[in-house]
Amino acid sequence: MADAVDREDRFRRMCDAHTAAVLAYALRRTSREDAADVVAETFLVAWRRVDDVDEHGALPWLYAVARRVLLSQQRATRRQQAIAERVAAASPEARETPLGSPRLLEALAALSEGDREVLMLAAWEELSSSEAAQVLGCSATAYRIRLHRARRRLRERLDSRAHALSSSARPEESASC
Amino acid sequence: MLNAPELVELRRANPVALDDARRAADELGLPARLGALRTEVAKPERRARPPRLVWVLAAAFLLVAVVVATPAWGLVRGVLPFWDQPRAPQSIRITFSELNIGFPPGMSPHAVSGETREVGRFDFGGSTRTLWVAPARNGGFCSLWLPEGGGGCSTSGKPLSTGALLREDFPEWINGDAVVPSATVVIRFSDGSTVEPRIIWVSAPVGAGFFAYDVPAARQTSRLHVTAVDAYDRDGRLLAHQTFTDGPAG
Repeated sequence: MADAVDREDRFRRMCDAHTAAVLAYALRRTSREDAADVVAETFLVAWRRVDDVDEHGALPWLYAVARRVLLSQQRATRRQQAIAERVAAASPEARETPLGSPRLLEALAALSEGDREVLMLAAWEELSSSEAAQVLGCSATAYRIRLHRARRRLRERLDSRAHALSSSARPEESASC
Repeated sequence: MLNAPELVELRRANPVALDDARRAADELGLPARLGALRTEVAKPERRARPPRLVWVLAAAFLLVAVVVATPAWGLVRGVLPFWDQPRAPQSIRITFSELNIGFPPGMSPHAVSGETREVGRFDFGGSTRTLWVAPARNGGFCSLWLPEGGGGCSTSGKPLSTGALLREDFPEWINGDAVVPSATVVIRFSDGSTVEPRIIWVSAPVGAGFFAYDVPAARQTSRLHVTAVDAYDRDGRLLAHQTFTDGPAG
């Protein structure tokens, strides 16, 4: 009986502490309606395995479950589409930032799914290498290598896009002469 | 590395701040929904570790079952009669009943969990995954590969649905279902080669075929990997084409 109460308390604390973070994780990767389902399924798994979860390291564990739920529920093509929708639906505030967020998000969307996940875990979930590695089921060293490569590819995308924009601007410049 | 310019810039472009997610959680009614999990789903109970004898008996039973069942699966040609397949144990039926939880009104697949049947087995990396299927009340079905492998519900009659387990960036295991008029499924690779997985066709009320493919390790690389799964009808017409993301460039 005491065990049951203890488990309920632990699960409640886990929900209170991490629901928003897991929802944010899902919202960054899929639609609002699907994100709510992902959170519900993730915490359903957490409830059933509450004895196995280390309360202090629960968030990366929950992200890993949410990632699996997303992989299971979303077909590969739908997921691509969802990312594109997320880019299209990026908030107006973000679009107007001087850092050129649309450009960045478009470059992100053009990367492979693996690269995107590696980058998003670092930048948006703000996980350490060991935590992100736990989510992806790889070693921290492997994660750092993947992050390094993904960063390089993102930079290449941004640079090539900047180059394309400057090239397309040239005819107008010459036309005005 | 976490302060690299790309990551700093990306961090500032985060489309969902934590405060926004907190508000969204309230708007979506998640606190109540998660609270309901504790009452809707049976409380997890600590299970005592089975004595060694139980493991030995279970292993012996499994061995006998494999010896008996394997030739039977091998002989299956045509359509597997759904109602004649072994019923699922209670733990599996509970898992299927949980598929109905958490949908908005009118969106639940209504899996008939009490009629879940075992319709196939698949060896993967030395372990066996079992395919469980339950009919859905409003047509279609729900399927799960257990203990790991995913699944879902198909109630719209789509000719092809696929799922994959990824290792690094590439599929290491592909499963899916095909609905008539689909007759064959073809898995395509980046070098142009193809594989046609065996489909286990299941009779009404399911009325669908299921397949799984264990991708060889040599075909999970940036040079050679799965790119798509296609479904064709009996006349060879393409009915569905589902792509998998390309691996990392360079």
